[in-house]
Amino acid sequence: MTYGPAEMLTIALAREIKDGDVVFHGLASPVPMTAMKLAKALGKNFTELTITDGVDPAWDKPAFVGSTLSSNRLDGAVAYYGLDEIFDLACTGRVDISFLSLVQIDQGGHINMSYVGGTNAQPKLRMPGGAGTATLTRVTNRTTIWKTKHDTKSFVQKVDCATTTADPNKIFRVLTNLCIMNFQNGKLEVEGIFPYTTLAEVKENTGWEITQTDVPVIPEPTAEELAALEKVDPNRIRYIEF
Amino acid sequence: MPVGGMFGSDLLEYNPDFYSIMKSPFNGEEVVCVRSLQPDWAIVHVQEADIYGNARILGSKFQDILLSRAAKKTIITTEKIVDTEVMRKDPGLTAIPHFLVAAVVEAPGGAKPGICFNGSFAPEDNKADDAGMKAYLKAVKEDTVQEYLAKVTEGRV
Amino acid sequence: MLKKLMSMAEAVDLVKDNQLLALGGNALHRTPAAFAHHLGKANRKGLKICGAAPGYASDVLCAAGSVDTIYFGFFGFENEYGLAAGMRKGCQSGKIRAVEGS
Repeated sequence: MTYGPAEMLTIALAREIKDGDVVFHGLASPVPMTAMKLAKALGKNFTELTITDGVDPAWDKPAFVGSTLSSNRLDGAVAYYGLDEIFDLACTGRVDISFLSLVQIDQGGHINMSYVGGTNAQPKLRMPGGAGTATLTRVTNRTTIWKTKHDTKSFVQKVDCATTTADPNKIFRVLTNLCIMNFQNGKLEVEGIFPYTTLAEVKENTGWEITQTDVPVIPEPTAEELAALEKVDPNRIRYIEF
Repeated sequence: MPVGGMFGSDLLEYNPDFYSIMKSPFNGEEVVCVRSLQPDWAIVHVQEADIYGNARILGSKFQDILLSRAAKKTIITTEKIVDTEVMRKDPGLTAIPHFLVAAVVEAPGGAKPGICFNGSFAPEDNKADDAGMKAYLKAVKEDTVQEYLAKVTEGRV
Repeated sequence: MLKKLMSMAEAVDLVKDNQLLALGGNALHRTPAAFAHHLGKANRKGLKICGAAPGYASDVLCAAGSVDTIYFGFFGFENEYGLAAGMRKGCQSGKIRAVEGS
């Protein structure tokens, strides 16, 4: 079966989830939402918390709208658990993965979701905001960033504003359409590249100097993973982000 | 009030009248505190309310319950008015009780062009009104917002 | 229990200049759009908006020039409709102060 970056990234995110985890996705998160459904379809046993108050909604009911705030995310849920409660849970160390995105990131693990250019008082481009990133990045056990477009506009030398900074005492991982990065010793390092790209392409699309010369290739999607992905996302909602 | 996380964020310096880092009086640990906000009004659109302001929400409640508790008073707009008996049959489903509410307005379609869950999970019931959203975004771009508001409040969008 | 049923116009009249409003819903979901359309026409000034994820209704008030301060975590319309146009225009022109919560 053929696959592209949309499949690879969704599958890579699903692989980050472990049995027993408590995992949260927020709004504007079609790819993580799909990754969580995929992880369940592949038999992982974890707790899915959604921004729409739903606990473990039915993973086998395909999404048909891109909005991850849709009440469809309540369909088949076993319980209700509000967003304010999810934040309390996270702040007391009981959320394992928060899936978060970004507008800009730099090698020091600073993430910008606030504005680009200008100043905070009068920005050139005002972005929607952190959506809880500044809280969650510091308290979630494994912050897992996803970014569907790895380019020099997003992966910059220095962010215009640090909405949040990675906590060096916690796990902080960045998954893009090209590679997986891990935060170690105060820096983001490339942990592995996807089979269809090269380290040269990753370097070309990253605004800081990557000094690594040799990184492993991440295993491509298996037939089982691809089949399960087609099953949970037949309407290809994941493509809305690509 | 104290909040979790937030360290390592530039947001703390941009708004010193909203954020403050304090030391916990119990163990000396640094904690980020935010100024509490008490809204004058919470304005919530619901699917069912009675004439006294008891309101029920179908689907995700988001933070609306919190908003109604924080605000001085709440204004409810509702898809439909129901008899209070509906609330009395299952009071656990009453999201906002009447004593927090100052006004109830019957407003069917009151979330449009946004989405208001009606109990159906079908695609056509869970999408925004595309024409409405596009008309709004165009009005903002072209600086014709008051014209747009006149049209939409007269049902002409 | 006191009867509270009133017209949209009467309810809109309750909101005065410079007040702090918390509009419910999230992004495009269950947003009090009709109320915001009517309040937007009423030309209030100096309103402040707060919410975890203000959406369409709050954006209408920003676009109508009624808002001077917003307190929010995320203010946008998600993937399909993109950035909150009114809020963005207001912040970029320096007319709206953004107090980002997290």
